[in-house]
Amino acid sequence: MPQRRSCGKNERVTLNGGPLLQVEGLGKIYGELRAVSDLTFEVNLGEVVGLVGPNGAGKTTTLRCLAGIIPPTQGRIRIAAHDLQQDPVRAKGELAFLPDEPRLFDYLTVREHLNLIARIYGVADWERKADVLLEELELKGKENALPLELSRGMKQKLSIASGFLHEPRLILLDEPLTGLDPLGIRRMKQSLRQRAEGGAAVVLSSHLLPLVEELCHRILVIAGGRNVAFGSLDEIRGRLSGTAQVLPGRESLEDLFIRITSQSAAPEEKV
Amino acid sequence: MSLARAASLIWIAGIRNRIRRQIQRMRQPKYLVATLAGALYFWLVLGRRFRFSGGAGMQLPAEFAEVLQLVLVVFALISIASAWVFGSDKAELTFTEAEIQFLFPAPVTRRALLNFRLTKSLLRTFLSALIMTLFSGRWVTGRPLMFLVGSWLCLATLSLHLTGAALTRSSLLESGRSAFRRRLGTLAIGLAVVGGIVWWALEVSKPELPEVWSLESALAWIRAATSSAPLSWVLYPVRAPIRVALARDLSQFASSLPPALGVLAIHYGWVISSNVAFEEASVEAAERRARAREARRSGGARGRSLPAVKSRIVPFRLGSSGRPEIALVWKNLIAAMRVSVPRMLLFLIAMGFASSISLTRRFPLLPVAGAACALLVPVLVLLGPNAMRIDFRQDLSQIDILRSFPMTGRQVVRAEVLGPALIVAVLQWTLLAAAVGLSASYPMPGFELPKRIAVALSAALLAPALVLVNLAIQNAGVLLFPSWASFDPGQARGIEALGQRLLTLAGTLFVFFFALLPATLFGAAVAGLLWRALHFSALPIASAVAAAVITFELSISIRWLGRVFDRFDLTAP
Repeated sequence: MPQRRSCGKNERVTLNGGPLLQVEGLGKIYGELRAVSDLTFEVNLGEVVGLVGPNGAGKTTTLRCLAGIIPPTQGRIRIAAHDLQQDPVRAKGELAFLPDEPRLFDYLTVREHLNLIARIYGVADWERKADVLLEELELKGKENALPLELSRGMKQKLSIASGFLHEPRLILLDEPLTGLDPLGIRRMKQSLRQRAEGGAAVVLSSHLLPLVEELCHRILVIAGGRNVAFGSLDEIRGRLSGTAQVLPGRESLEDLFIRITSQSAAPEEKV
Repeated sequence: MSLARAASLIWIAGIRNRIRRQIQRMRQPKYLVATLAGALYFWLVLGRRFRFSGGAGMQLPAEFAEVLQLVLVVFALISIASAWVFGSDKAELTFTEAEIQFLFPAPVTRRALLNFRLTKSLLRTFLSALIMTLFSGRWVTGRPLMFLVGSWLCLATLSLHLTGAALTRSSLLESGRSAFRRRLGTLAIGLAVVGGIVWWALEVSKPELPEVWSLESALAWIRAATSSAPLSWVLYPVRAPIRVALARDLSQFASSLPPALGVLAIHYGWVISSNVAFEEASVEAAERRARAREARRSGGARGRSLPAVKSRIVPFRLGSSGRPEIALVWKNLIAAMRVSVPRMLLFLIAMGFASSISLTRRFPLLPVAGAACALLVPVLVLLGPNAMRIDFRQDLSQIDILRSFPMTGRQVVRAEVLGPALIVAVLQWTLLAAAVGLSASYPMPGFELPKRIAVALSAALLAPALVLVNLAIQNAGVLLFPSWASFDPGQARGIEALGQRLLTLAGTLFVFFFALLPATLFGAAVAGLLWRALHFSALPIASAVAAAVITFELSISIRWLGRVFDRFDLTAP
């Protein structure tokens, strides 16, 4: 049964070295279309995992299932040892989901968005943390602005600030750099690295393969809703070469991606 | 491929795909039922009475037809005058964003683009004419087909004139005349022409004033004044298409059709020969529409572009600890205070003022104002939840964010319903207090002050509970039938949307009265038992019992809706 209380930091579960995110046999069916099928993977604390795949591969559906936004048709998701279906409040208290298109409340100012998040997630000393984030994301001076008065990039930054305020241990990002300027992109990358180094697990979905290659420790390639490759870049190279060895090499993620997805290209599966 | 062929491809494929999608949607019972309900209503209200073929049906009497013609002429003149004087200074032509993206850079001439736009506009005016004919064609002239052709000619000519005016205004601006000078010039010329013509009609032609004013004599005078030159020449192009629409038989139709077609052709020639650049303004206009649509999809302002929000007032300081659902109530109260409440207050003041004015002729002002306040309380029970849409109806497009919050469905539903309920309840309590206060010094035999206080207290207990029921139903509608409430590109249109609204209204009324049944029974029983002993003082107790029953029902409904929210999948078909 879902729990009522929000999950404060002091209630966090110690994982004893286990993975922060565990996904087992995840599947999602829309009507007659199987969008995601039998997806199994884990993400450890301090790890950045990239989710890549062609358009319509099921990346966004997967992320939305992981964030508890849409219910999976089958499978199990555990976040910090909390089952997302059985104990959604505690599981969701550990995560932040940043969609590709910032979804903001039209009538709340920048600071009011952060105040709202602070209450929902029970963030102590939120004003100081908000100031740090606003400074970091160049939103200082815009505290009283409404979303309508912000540019696309600023809205994205506010969405990021709202996601980071409660210091989530699992960060789910869908195309995180959309709309950001070059400086914003650099800061976002630094921020994600810092948070991973600080112990957060990050899952990011992107079509920007150089970004994924640069930031991610492991990469999950999905096509037609299925896991077609999972591992570090070197491990995937090794698997593609037909050996089980880790093969450091010059072949970029882009080359590998094209090879993998062209091999596994299949029409959308119908139920 | 020529633009004409491309245009026909766009339109035919668009209509075909829309029909195909509608048929696909109807595989699901909720869309099928809505479409059938809409079609049934359409048939019962309009279709059954409409026949294109057959003899003449009901006709307006000749004098009324003449009055109608006069009204239409005046309406057309006002539209034309306001377009020239107050219209936009940019040559904005309505193109969709896709048309701009695909057709503007395409190797087609400017004239071809203009023709595309004009054809589209003429097709739209035909649809409008068809709807007008369905509503009124049979009873106006009894000749719906002739009315259809005539009303299309009226609308098409007016549409071409407005486009021509926009292009000409823009051309004047390009030639260096400022917007203010142009407006002033247009206004001066217009006034001079109208003044001159009226002077000519009254002083030179001198139609004989009737001795006794009646509808017939007034019409005869207007007929005489407007049929003499030069007023008749000025009005001729305006009257020509209207005469076609109001033709009472085939010979009138046949004689009035060629001049109307001539006027249409002249307008077409005027617009097409214009060499004003319309592209930039059209792109800007398309972007504006896109922004407004985006605002609608993000839940802003119920389909309009968001109004400017100047207020930064918050209802209370939100701490970072405590029940998380209070954060959602706080958010919704902010939304209400910044947009909905000012509008509602204006509405209430206007209604209170109107009802006070209508009653002050017979009664003193203060008790009348008190009565007006009391009358607004039940109005708010029904209209308040419709006006205060700061709940799931506004947050549906943000459902991703709400779903990702660490809150149970029950908490979210409770918070969403509570926000607007609080606002409406505070308004109702204020109105009730005002009603009692304003009428306190006015003696009402049989309804003394203590009785008034007892009734007001009962209303204060019951009215917010009723508002909560209404809000719970409206929000249940959104959670159970999200596709009926969302602003998706594939949202229902036409007959299906009509059916959805009818079913929603019927369902809301049914559930509302069904939900009130147990509360009414319990409340009536308590009032009946205590009336003898307590009289009016029994009412607040009975209301409290009824409100308690409603609260119990609500707690069960919110628990159930919470489970619906927990399972909610916006992506489900």
